[in-house]
Amino acid sequence: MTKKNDAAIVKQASNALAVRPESGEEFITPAADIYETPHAFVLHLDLPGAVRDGVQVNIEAERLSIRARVKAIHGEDVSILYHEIANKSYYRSFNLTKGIDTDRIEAAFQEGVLSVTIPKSEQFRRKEIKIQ
Amino acid sequence: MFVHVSQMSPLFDLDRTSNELFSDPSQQILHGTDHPAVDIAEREHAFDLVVELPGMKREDIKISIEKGVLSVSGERKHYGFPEGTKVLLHETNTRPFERVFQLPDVVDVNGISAEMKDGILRIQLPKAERARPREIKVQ
Repeated sequence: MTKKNDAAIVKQASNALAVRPESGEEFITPAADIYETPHAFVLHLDLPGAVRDGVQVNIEAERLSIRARVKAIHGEDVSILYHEIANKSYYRSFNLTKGIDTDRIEAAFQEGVLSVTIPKSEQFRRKEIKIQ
Repeated sequence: MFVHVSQMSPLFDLDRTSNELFSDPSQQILHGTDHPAVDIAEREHAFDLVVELPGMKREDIKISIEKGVLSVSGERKHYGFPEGTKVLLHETNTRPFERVFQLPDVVDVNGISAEMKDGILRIQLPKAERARPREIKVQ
């Protein structure tokens, strides 16, 4: 398998504006890390303040999309003195190309970080052939 | 009491780089810098200082108070790319950070507590008894 195939498997959606979940909805694009192992791609997304039940990972038409609802940071009856935390829903999507086993994608949410493991399909895994 | 933090309120952020804020959430904002976002709110009996610290565990974070200055620092130690893997995208911050705040006099430093949940650190700064609002009944 060539190097070109590798890099093409997980690619960030180039036009995120076109896939806004609902028009008018405000959301934040969370920071992401992606690394590749011989068997899978692993995606990490920073989703501080997201609620576990509100994290959605969807695969549709070779696009992996992640939405997450956040819990309100402040209760009612407070005055905000200083404000940097957006406290809005998260959304981000990635294009998946061929060579992914979409049936076995797994996700976990811990310490405000979503981890998505995207296994390569059998034929795209790197194999080493031992010389006899 | 502290109407505008931008006008040198006692809770003003001492860190000079604090101008680089995520000030416009309506735009697409990429989170993940070495300058974690902070909110400060006031309640009747306390202030809440909230810091976004995704991927951090309690033991990664240090909170210290000295001479009325509160410092929150830390590093995302339990995070990174396993050896032998190929990094395709790296946007999250894994560098050490520190944010420093001048506390108002009304804060009871002995009563400060903190909790960490889902990547959000919440530090509660109770007001000293004498500073709490009270009603004086007319006899």
